[in-house]
Amino acid sequence: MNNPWLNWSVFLSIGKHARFCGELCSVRFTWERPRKSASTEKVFIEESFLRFLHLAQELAHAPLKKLHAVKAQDANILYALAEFENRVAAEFEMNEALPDSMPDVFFIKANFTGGHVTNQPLGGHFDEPGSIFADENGLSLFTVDSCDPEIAGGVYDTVMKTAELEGAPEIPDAEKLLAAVRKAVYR
Amino acid sequence: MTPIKILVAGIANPHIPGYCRGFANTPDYPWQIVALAESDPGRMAMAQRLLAGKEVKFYADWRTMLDAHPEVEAFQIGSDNKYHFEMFRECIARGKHIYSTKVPTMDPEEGEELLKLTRDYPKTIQVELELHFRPQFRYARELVRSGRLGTIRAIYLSNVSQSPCNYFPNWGDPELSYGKVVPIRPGADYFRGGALTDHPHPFDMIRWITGLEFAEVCAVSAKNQRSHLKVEDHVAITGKLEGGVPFFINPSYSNLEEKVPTRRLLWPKSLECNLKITGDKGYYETDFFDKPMYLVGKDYVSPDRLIVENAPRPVRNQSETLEGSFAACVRGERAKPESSLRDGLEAVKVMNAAYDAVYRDETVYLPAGKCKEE
Repeated sequence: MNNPWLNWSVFLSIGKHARFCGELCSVRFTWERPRKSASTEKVFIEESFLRFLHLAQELAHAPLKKLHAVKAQDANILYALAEFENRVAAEFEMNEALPDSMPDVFFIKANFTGGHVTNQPLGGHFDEPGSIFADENGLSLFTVDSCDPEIAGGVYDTVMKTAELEGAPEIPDAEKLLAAVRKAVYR
Repeated sequence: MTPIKILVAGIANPHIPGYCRGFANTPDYPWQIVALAESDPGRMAMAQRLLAGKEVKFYADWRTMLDAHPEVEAFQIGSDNKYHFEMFRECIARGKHIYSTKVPTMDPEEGEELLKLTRDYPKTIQVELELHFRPQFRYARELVRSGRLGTIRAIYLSNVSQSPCNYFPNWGDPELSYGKVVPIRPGADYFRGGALTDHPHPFDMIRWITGLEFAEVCAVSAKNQRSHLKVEDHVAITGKLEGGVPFFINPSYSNLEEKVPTRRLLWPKSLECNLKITGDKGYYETDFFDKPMYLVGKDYVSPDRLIVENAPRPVRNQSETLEGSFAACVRGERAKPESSLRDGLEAVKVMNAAYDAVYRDETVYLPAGKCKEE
């Protein structure tokens, strides 16, 4: 069996930058795909997971010592933990049961004694603010911005509703600003 | 709203300065700190700095503080975890309302004893499990409990932070943190009491959101990123909830900080707390930093470095904050605390199962369902 993921730029980048970061200690793999892209269970376990496990072993530079895995019934969802002979640990989150409105996501986060290398966004899932709700009808991004879930909405709605809650302050020199705007826009 | 009066026992827990700052700087803060006890001179100096200008009495011994303020009904446990049990026991004997920082005790026998002592206890006991008060996590619970996500297929929750052990060195002492010295695995030169002990939230949140108990737990602990630490800085855990639902938890200190005696981040985000719930009707995902802002400041606490912070969030009702919820219970305005002693101890059971799974290198089975709320 081959492993095309060995040519994945993210994997290559981690290998390239590892020398700046000390010793590798742990690495986390995220594989997320919508149901429409799901493979058979056999391919999911014996090819996709196996290939990511191989990436972990390549990064660890040591043989596999132990492997724990739990799989959801009737769905391609797998969580797994690997430990290599040199005590590097690898974590796997693999999910091919997302709603069809969700895109593919593949991340690696490698944690070293003196640094990190990752393609995982700093904020949220896609570098977006807020939370994600997705079902077969679509994907929503929103910020739950109070203790009441019903305020959840888009960014504009959230800002406006929050202002309603707190009271929107007056603009003290609104006339002056308006004159400047009119002059700039309608000149 | 009149604030409740409270005694603070210890500032050894890294969260206690936040409460002191809250009281010192927030006009409508729901607590009035009457006195604070701390036996360590360095930490006492920190407490006095934080509370400068406030009418707070300071004591070196928490029992002396209790004796001196019999009129104060509420007591915050902020010491190292090792001393929580004796503080609980003393406060229960004196009939106080008790607010405990996040781990009541890591010792199962002490936990059982606390449950016995507090059966039919007429006062409030709240354990600090602060994610209950984050609206994005409350919303997750609402989605699951309302059935909008359908049958839960899997749940993932990370609670990855920097290590506080450089600026709270007591937090890296296995005995103070875990209560006793237990190697992470046979023959290991580092011990229980690190990142896993520090992060009960995922274990509590998964129970709280799904209503399901943990059934089996397996775990690995990588070699420490910080070779000087005497406690573990990495544990990853997976297994099944009752009904066979797979879960994944990472409660590690995997985000590096600078090795200086103050809180200074190296990785720009202090806390990754990503929740992902897959149901057969929908999917929900959120992060603790759900309103990320990016900041570089030469005089910021992590100077000259890109840092991710959360934008502020409106607070509509003080009784729905961590401190306000407790105050509302003490005043009799709320029947039960948001996060109870039992919630805290149930999380600890699973945390200890994870430690055992690492130590024994095998899956640990829990009596799922047996420990549900009575």
